[in-house]
Amino acid sequence: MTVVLETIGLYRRFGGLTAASDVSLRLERGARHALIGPNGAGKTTLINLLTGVLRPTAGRILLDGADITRLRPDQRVCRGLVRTFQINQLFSELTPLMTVGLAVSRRLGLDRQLWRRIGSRGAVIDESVAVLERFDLIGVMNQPTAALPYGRQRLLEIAAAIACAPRVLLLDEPAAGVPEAERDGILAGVAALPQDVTVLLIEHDMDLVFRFAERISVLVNGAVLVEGTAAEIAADDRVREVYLGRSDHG
Amino acid sequence: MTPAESAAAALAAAARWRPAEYLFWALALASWFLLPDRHLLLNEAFIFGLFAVSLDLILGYGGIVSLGHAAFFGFGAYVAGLLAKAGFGEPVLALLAAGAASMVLGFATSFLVLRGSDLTRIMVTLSVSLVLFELANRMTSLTGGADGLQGIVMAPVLGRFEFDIFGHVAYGYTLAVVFVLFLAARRVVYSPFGWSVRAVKGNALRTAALGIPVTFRLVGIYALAACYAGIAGALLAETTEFVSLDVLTLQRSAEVLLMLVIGGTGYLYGGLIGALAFKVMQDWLAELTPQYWQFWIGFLLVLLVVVGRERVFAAPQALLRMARR
Amino acid sequence: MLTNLFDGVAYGMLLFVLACGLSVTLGVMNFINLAHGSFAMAGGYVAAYLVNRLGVPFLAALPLAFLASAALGLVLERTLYIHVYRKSHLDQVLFSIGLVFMSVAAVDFVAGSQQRFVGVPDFLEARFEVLGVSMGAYRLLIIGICGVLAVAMQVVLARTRFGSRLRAAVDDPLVARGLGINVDAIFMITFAVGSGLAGLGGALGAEILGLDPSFPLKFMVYFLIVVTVGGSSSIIGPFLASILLGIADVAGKYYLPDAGAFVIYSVMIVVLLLRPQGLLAPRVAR
Repeated sequence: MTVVLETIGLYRRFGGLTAASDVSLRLERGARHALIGPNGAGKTTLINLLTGVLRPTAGRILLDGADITRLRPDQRVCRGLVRTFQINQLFSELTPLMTVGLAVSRRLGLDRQLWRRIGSRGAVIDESVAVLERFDLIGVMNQPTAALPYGRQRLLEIAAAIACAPRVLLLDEPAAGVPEAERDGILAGVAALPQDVTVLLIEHDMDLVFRFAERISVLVNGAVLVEGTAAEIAADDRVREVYLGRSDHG
Repeated sequence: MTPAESAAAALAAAARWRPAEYLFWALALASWFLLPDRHLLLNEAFIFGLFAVSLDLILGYGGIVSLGHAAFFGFGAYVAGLLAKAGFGEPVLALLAAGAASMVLGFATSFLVLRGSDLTRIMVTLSVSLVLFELANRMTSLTGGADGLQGIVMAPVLGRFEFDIFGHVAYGYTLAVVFVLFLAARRVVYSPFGWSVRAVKGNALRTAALGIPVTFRLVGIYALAACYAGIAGALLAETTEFVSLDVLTLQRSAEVLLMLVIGGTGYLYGGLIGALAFKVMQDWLAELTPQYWQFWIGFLLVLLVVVGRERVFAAPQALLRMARR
Repeated sequence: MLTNLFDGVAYGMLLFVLACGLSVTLGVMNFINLAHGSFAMAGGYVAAYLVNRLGVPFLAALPLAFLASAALGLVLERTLYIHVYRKSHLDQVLFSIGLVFMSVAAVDFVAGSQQRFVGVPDFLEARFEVLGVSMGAYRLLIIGICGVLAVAMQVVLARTRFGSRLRAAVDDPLVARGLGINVDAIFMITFAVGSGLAGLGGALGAEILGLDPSFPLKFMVYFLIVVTVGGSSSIIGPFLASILLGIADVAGKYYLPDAGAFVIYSVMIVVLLLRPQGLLAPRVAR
């Protein structure tokens, strides 16, 4: 199986604090991989390093074999490395249709256009509507994002990422803050992803993790403690120690 | 309607011309015929309106606070004036040249402007305009220094319409230019490029996460705004046949900011409406207190902010919102 | 050449005293106060009035100028600024520019637009020769006073309870409030002191910088440069930036008289290109 995303000896230091320590990950195409660890373990830092929001102190990142360590965040997205944010990062005044439409326009290479009105091309509309339908956002697609309930906003957060047609998708706690009832909608949206899309999921909700992941990496204090299949991790004593008494932390 | 049809309809509706817009331009055109003794005032109002619209592009749409937008206004004015003095007096060509030159200046300075925080941006934009002011002040042989650039003689517009002292041709010319440029700006603002600029203002992090290069978009809108401001300055130089150092001062940058704030940011017409309101007010107040006009501008600014822009303009903006439907 | 250096340092320290209030306001309250120069101008005119009209001795007029500007700052802070703290940077810019315009026009109306001079006592007109460097007594006084002030500010910030409360309020106003620190009072005092220092600087600098109603506009750029280049998170930053700028300006005007203000702007642009967050801030680590 081909390795799609790989980090080699990734380090990130903030002064005296080492947020990422010698992290070497390998994700194969189509992997359903979860990253777990206690609060402050450096999971979001790792996502920020992967997406280019943070520059590593040392180490390299390879996407499809190409070194992307020096690329800007938007360049990485254009190569198929897409993320969602733990805290919604949306456009409060734009509608879901506009948000997804913008993502699709970019994907089709149309975002630099100065002249034609956005949405004048059928392809953009069709694709945007398809994505919105997958996440049950058609009903609210013309309302400003700020007016939507939190659960819907979270769905939009993920829909926007999906609209970028990712090859590798990094989900940063997609279910965070979402009421129990709506979590299934999120999981369904993620499960419906094509098989060849590689997904890295960060989550605290162990239920979600074990329903989704085939392989799991455990991050503690910036370093990978252990990595293995879901069954191996569930049985690992070290992991249990780290999570003592916290098997279902939401 | 299928979802696709309703989506297409929604996006089309956002960009469609509102009745109020037709009304605005109809009134503008009518004013040329019906208010001949106001042409000089209206000419200035629309010139500054264009200047304010250019500021709206970077402030209202791009979220860049600039305190030195007069740099491009003044630069365009001097370019047009100097071209005329050098013998290239055809107004439209000089206009295009001024716009192109300002766009290049805008592009060149954009890289300075887009680094750092709000404060650094304010600093850098202010400094660029001050540097230009210093340059203009010192190169007296070229610019006339503090006396201003005089002796500009414009050829007839398109070879046919000669400028008259009453401002009839000037106003018509300005109105035509502003209308054309406004149409273009309106298209840009509703294009994917325009929306991506708005997205950057809304959430730059998310915009980058969608794969859109944030800095390039801002550079693009900044250069476009510089071009428009330069053309506005050129219009002033051509229709008044004079360029003074005033065009490069902090005063000018602050005034255009105030005009835009009065009219409202983010919907393009704010610049035009604000400039009209400002010029009318200035005309009226200048008769009452010719010397201390500056005090009242300052007072208005302070009042505006302390009371809160939303509250002061609540009524007019509600009206405008209804008109925009 | 050393004389130029000396003059540059004096000029720089004057700039520091004038600008540090702005730096503090920005760092503490995240407020862009472009009207800072108006407080300096107020101090200058108060000093001019006291010395020229009322015959108050120069050295006594200085602290009075400080108090007058501090009082003005206090009043304006409580009545106007307090409504603008939480507004956007754009609103702050509009507001402070409005104040500048009002102050410039008001002073023009009251005092006329000609240059004012503050009567400097004779003993300050003297010049000394030290190690071949010609130093003016006036500039020595400036260096002395400003030096003492800079040290005092550093001591207050680093060694006193007020200083530690101020630093806490800067770090995290919410937490500071939770700890029982009266953040509003701290802001108020800081703003008043900053304005007072500007007034002192205006009075002290009238001889060198010139005093007329356009002072706030002319020097706004310099203050902003000091704050942008020096950053707003310490005393050292603006101090170094001011000295650098002072020397650059004086040297520029001497060696490249045609370049004039370009030297300052160029220095600023170069610094900002290399360090967008200012001289002393850690390099932007993305």
